[in-house]
Amino acid sequence: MKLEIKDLAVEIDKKLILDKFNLDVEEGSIHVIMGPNGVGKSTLSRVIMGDENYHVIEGDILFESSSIVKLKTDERSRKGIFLAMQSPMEIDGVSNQDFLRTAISQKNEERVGLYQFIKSVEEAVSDLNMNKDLIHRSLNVGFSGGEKKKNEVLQIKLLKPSLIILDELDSGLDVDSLRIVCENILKYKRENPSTAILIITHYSMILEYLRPDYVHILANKHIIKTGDYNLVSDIEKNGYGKYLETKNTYGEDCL
Amino acid sequence: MKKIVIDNNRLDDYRDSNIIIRDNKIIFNSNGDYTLEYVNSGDINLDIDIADNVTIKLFIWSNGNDLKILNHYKLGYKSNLMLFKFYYNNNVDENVVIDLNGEYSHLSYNFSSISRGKEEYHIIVNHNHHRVSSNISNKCIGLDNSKIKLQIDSVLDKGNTLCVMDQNSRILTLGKVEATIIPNMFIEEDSVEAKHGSIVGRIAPEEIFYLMSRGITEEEAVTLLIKGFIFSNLVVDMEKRARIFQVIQDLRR
Repeated sequence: MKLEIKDLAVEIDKKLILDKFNLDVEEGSIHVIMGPNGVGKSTLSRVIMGDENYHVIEGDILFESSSIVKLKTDERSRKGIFLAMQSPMEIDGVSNQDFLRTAISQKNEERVGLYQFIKSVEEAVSDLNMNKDLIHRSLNVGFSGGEKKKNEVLQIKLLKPSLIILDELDSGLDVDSLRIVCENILKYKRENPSTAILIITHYSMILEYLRPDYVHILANKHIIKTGDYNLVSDIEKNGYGKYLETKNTYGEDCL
Repeated sequence: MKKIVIDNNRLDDYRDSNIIIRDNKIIFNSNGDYTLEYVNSGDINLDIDIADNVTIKLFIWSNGNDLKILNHYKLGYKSNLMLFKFYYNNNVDENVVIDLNGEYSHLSYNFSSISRGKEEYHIIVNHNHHRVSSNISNKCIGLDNSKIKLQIDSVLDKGNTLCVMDQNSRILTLGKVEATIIPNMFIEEDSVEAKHGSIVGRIAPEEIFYLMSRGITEEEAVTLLIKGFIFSNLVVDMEKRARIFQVIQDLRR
């Protein structure tokens, strides 16, 4: 699995959000994108997933060496891309179970057997220390913030993606839930070592669990700085200020 | 589950010691779980009485009819009517009057429909005693070029204290639909707990995006959402669920 984003420009309502954006995510690697509020981090995740509200006006996104910009969201998902959302949708009336079984069946292109489905769900629910009843309830309706995020990870365990995008997974999670969720993602990664992870976050705590190989700072519509894990400590200590004051690789002022 | 059928506007002969069927009147004398089904019916005019201390779970099913209905329910002391209805008809003109006559009587009215023609519903709930309560939930899906009007009147006269009334109506439009909800609460008594909500709208694109982001096709996502909308309002057994599901599947083909 490899994700390549090449010279991407994206707009919404005729406003340019990303421009000259480049990123390579190699098989098995963990990347984190950090940056001040409103610079387009979540936009990036939704563009990769194919949200039709965002328009790619230049550049390309390649997944496993093929362009995906013309693919619909469900096609991208079935290719192996998973976006764990910052605020998972609450959908009244659609049971979690019905939703999961439909999703797995569509991905596998055959109706998943009930016994196999129940067995997989029970194991994943137990790993995540989730309330078993949540599987029978309406999708995310009445779930706490932590339960919603665990439900996203439950979906990862069942749908088995090869690229996981975590959009502010840590928001709404207490310390214990964050640990459980991260342990489960790491367990999944150990079992599926070629899986790549792209993390979008403001905070370093999640990164103590999911140690990234690459740390990127997004500002001025593209990545202005890439480093290793030490960059996280530096941002934590000094903020983004010193990076934003510099010129980017195109000689433009950042922010 | 016992089934009462109205075939060609006539109540089928039905033998059950717990209920009396006479002309166009059904009297429930003891607790039970019943299905009322309209077959090949047009003009329906029914009186339904629920005796004191009786709880009735009633499921009403109608598929493919042109209905003109006037149904009148009367609830006695501590009686409880849990009504679940599913319609998929050509056209409907329905008037329902529910009199909560006995103290502590309770109505739970849950109606789900898929509309393809012209449908008008007028539901009147009269809170005629102290401490009576009503909970009304309508969830209608309007197909392209359909016309739906829902008028709900919750009525409470002065002197009937400590009543509780709740009405919630939603119309989900799939295409060009003329949809109207008129949620009336005629309340003359201060000692009451009342709330209402009405929504007309399309399926939220965010919901479709979420489902598609898990590999579900757009078509299947919409079917899931329709199923969810309809079933979230109905507590029914597997047999009824399968029948309703079949209607939705046929509709989506």
